[in-house]
Amino acid sequence: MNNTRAIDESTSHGAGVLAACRPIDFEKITLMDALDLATLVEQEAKDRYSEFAHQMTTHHNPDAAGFFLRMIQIESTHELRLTERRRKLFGGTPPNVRREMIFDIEAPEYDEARSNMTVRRALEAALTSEKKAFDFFDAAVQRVKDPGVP
Amino acid sequence: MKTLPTVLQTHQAKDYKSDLKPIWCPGCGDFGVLQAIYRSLAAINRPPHEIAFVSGIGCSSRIPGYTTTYGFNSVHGRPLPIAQGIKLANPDLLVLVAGGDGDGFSIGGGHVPHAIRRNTDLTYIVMDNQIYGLTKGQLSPTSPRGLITCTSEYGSLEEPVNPLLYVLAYGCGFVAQATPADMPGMTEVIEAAIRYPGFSFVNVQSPCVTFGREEVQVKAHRAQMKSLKSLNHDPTNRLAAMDLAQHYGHELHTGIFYQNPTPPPTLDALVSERKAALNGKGLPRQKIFDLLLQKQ
Repeated sequence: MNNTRAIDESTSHGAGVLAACRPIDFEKITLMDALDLATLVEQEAKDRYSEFAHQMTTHHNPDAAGFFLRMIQIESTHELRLTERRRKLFGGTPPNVRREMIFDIEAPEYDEARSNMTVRRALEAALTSEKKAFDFFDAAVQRVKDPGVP
Repeated sequence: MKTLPTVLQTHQAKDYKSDLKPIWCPGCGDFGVLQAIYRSLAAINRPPHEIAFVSGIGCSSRIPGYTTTYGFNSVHGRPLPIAQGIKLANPDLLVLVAGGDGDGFSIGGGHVPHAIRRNTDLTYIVMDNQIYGLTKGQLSPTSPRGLITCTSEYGSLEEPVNPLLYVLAYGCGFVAQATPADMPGMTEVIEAAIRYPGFSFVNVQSPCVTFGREEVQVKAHRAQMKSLKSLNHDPTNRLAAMDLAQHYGHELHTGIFYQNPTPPPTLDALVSERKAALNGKGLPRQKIFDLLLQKQ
């Protein structure tokens, strides 16, 4: 069995909200890493909204499904902007961060969804997630040492 | 300057995700468990074709279909014997077993001690929601005393099975508990369970959003959960693990309860050794069939 670990546990784990992102050491993060991380955060949110839209469609809730489809468009726009900026600054340099390192930073938690949820509740779930992402980046930026990142 | 670990992995979580989309109720705890399994498998870095995922019957037992590994959504309560057979037939496979509390501790309860004492190298993930969700909310073996359901109109009179104490008492070498309220923690324990060389058990408190009580939903877990690491629990101390496991149903401890620091040989390893020792002297399969037919 191949037991090779790709994630280096020797790096320091973040505390509090930063625990949602393992095992990145924010004190050492570069601008490229930050852009890659932000892109992954947007991708994760987009994928979760896609799952939610499917769940709502399956459970005959077209209104909430429509809202989540709109959220996919919004997150895709954010992802695209970040990807463009990253490409201009760092070209095709391989990223150091992986999707497996992040956990629900901007993506709503699975337990936010309900089959009979109203559009208002769906909006509240999305708003909570945006606030959660804000708290994450706010906590991260306070640890960052590279002046180019903030 | 290199600031982050180099990406060594050839497999990503998405590689284990099948095209089949889960049809669980929105808000179900099993969505989180599935994500944690994808990530754990990516960390283990074995290709999907080297993994077999076996399940019983129930909401959580749909999991193999949502992965790209080999899968067998088998018979109610029987995933453990099937998984043991798979592992013995092909010891190189990484074999995972998933099911619910009813499948594991009621219908299939008799198989658990034997799977543990044989110590076949399997990882058994139970999604414990303390209710029969798929069949619309009847009392399950882990339902708490007093629970009102459609089959216990005046409240359950039975004490629940304690899955953690149960498996520890039978000598399970790896016992952990997790909740979707702590995704990084759940991923970590599932990965550790898979890496453990022997029978490993993970009890996931995975709430049923439709028939489960409000006080056992993920939001409540966030407020209740206590990490065993934060309690400075020594996971090599089996008696301390049993002491903590007694709080099942009253307190939500997460993390590794027990991990045998000196794992004994697995059944699959012993069988391979026996085969090698016999060096082809054992009866061929056809001869065994012939002998059986002669006796009849």
